[in-house]
Amino acid sequence: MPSKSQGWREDVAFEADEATRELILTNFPERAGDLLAAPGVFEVPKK
Amino acid sequence: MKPLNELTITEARELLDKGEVTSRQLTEACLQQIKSLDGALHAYLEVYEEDALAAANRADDRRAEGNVLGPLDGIPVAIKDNMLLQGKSSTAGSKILQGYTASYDSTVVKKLVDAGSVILGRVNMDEFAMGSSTERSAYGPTKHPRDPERVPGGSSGGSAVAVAADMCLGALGSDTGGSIRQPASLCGIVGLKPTYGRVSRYGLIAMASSLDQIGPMTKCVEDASIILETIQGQDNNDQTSSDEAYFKPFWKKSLQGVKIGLPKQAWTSQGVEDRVKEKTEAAVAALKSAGADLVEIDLPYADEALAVYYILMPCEVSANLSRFDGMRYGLRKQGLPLFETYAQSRAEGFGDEVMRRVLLGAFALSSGYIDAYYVRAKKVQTLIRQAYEHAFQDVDLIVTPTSPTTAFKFGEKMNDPVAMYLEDVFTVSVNVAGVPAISIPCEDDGGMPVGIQLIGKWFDEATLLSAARVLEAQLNTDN
Repeated sequence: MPSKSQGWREDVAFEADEATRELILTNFPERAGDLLAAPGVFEVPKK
Repeated sequence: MKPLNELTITEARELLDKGEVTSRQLTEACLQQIKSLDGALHAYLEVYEEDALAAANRADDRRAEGNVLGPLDGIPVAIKDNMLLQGKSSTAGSKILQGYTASYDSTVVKKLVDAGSVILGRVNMDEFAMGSSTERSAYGPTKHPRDPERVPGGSSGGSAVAVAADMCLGALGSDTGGSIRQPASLCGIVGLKPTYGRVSRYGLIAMASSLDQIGPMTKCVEDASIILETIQGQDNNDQTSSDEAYFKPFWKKSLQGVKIGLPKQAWTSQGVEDRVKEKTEAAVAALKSAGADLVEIDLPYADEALAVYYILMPCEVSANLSRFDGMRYGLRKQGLPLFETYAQSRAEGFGDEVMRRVLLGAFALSSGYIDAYYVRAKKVQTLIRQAYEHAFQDVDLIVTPTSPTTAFKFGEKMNDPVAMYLEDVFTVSVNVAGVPAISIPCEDDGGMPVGIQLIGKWFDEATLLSAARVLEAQLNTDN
């Protein structure tokens, strides 16, 4: 028969080490200095 | 002794155990083969030469100290480009993930690394595993090792060619509707799709989560068993991984007492190439010679399985791929308002086939149509599972051709999606039902390869692989 569900795992935060954190942030497509940049919801970009 | 890169995993392991070869030598032989052939075949998207040699040296050191980690310690393998390896690029064959670096290991790759395997590199695939020819990769097609004008099948075409052309000893593929078995068939190697839930999907870039399953692609059945034993098991990071008893191989010498069903829907199917018919019928005769009891069976809903698959899969695709919106990772079109950023990033990052399936899925899930398409397809999925349950009350295994065709020419089916989808006609119902299946080669005349598919009961990979190994031996004897 099809596989059994294992239920849910604990909904707890776990901390990434610094190298993993950096790896995740490196994948962010746009940065402004130390900040991660995302398009504004209501903002029309300046030409 | 044959060249080291041409060894099976089983043969390499024996030589490693006897001290007649080192992992470094095996790895160098594969790297040399990649340098010689991959410019023409384009199986690899990236080769981790330095890392592979370092891993091989570590394996040799462990062996010298008597600390061998297991049967895959020091064995060079390749991984499909949709399985994450921390710190390495992983694109799923898509432009939208160009430059993405994995921040964690997929469970299967971690298990391979923990078992001492040498990861040679990541191999090509149809974009997000959507295709049956590897022509849909954003990084260019992979070519068939016996005829570079032909496709190797897909979506795990890179894995199949890397194994068939001896550019690794084994590889991992993923199979949502036949993506391990069809390229294995077209390239003349062994491809195993385990039972859904047998192998963790954590860290596999998802296509259709209820159908995707990772499995081995190898040069022989015993090698597939070795890899499955290593990568299987319940995983807290994948709720759908199962706590069923682990697979352990037991090898029988004949098929005496094994009852095999031949579905009349598959064996009387129109549109099967003559060469496929001839070779698979010869393989059925070999099953009989090996002692199997063959019976014709009725396996209804064969035609409906393809239709159900092409509703359920796009629905899951449209949900899974919504994460690629240009926000957290992947391609982002810059300088646009929010909605246009989503739309333009996806329009530029996804290929035609991916967009077709996202649109079909979004349509089938929309409020006016969900009952007519998705809900009805889920009901037929239950009927298909019940048809397998019913069939397996009378037989131990079911056998069909793997693919209706041999390797076809580039471009032949690119403008006809339905013709391409029909490549999966014998494989999709296996994913829809969640059962395990293996494709093994059943020709040895140097022409285009043909595969035969053996289908087993849920979580009974032991019977499936044992029978496949007997058939493999019988075919080697017959040929």
